[in-house]
Amino acid sequence: MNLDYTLLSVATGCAVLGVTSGTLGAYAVLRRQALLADALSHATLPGVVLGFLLTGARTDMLLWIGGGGAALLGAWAVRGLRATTKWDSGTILATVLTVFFGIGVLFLTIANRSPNAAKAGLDHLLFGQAAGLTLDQVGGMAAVGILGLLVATLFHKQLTVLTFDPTYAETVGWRERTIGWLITALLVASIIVGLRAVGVVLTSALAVAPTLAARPWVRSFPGLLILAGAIGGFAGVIGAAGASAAPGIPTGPVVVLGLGVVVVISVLFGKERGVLVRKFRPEATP
Amino acid sequence: MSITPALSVRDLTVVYGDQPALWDVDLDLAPGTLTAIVGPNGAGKSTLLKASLGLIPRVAGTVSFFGRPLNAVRNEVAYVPQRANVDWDFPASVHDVALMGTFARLGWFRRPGAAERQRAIDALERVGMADLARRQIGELSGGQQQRVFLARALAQDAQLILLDEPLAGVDAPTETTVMSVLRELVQAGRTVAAVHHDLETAPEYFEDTVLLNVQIRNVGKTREVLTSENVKAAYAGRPVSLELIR
Repeated sequence: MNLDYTLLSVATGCAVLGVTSGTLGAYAVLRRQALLADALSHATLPGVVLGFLLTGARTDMLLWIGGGGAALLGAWAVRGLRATTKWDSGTILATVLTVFFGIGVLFLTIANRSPNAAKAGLDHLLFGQAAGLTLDQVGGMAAVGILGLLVATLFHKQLTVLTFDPTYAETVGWRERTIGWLITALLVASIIVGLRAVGVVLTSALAVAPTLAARPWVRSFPGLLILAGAIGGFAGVIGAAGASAAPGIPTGPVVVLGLGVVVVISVLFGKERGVLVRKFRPEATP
Repeated sequence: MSITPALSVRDLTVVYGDQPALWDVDLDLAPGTLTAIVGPNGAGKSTLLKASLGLIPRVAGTVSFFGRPLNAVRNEVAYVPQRANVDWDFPASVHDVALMGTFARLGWFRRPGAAERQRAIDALERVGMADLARRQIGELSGGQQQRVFLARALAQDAQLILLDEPLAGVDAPTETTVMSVLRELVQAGRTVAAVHHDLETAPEYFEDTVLLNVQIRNVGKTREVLTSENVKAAYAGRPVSLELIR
């Protein structure tokens, strides 16, 4: 059997980013910060395009440094607004998302006037294009992903306690100010890994949906992290296969639709908290 | 030569907006004592614990634990917060939560092993929750949730245990269990202080009492502190406004 080299690298890349985003996004979702993932993924746009405008050529390193930097700036803005205003969290996130994304679209319009914009694939930034992934790029994605997963493993205790009970974490001496930023950094890593393949607009779905799909099946936090990673990886492969089967379709929407199906199945049939299970099994009396 | 207090608070002032929540509070908890912190709603009882632990900012004042700053003795101070503060939907078992109590002594990178797991089980046994060790925390009753929090503090094996309303809204068996565990701790030389809302049971449960209403009103043996005169004065006196004090 002759396996297509392009399809193989694309599928591997999407699997890597699915595992990374699915696992690292779980912390944000369980801390009820899923919208932060969305705001930060949109916030990457100005950084990515600015990198292109400054150098004229878009490399993956630049994509990540620009996008990651802009996302961290967005996270810093969220924290700043939270500390200085009395706005509710939804308002703050909507503000940061729209301001950053607006600037990004403005930059994108300017960048598109440059002659090599199409060659650099700027038009794929919004919705992703996994078909063009090279093995080098997949290697880069894997490097960022493995680094993120290693850091998460190393700080597993801290991340668990802070996610479950921030007050207790503080009394142990694990400050929200530091560990909270670690969680944000991991979230940003999970977002930038998906930028090229899934795009700015939809990459946050890969950070959020796998956790929602995994939650009804698990009884422990490590179990959730592993299953969310597996579901993310699976969705990535589906997206890659779907997008290569129908050339011209961007990968992002295919991945997100695949994930959506898994989420619906989980919410309906999940063993722990599935809607149907709850309906037909009497509540356990404690 | 006096004994170093387990907790020593000096000139502690905390302000919410322009209202003082605590005003110039001085407090010493002697080692091996069981103390109730009593006062009307908004008296700053929880605030006293949180500000002492550095969970909320203080405008003024110093706090020391066993004569040292909190950072030097964090492992020796356990805090049992109000139940409502955590995400009970979190995927974790009763044992998982009790195990978190052992994390403080493990430092940043060591992982819990067999010894830590055993400490968590022992702690659950003391609060009568060992049978439910594998149950999801989301499936517990209020009293059971409170006992798991107490087990987490026991697993930490701290010298000073501070509890925020441990008996609020719990069932009778839980109340009995919590109080007997607290008494055991004190008999073993540990220091315990708890925010307590029930004036009737305070004399039976707690040897010492701090009567608080923004300022410290009375401190001492519970029966001497909770006289009807003292209580009336403390509960009638509205929280002192900043202008009056100035």
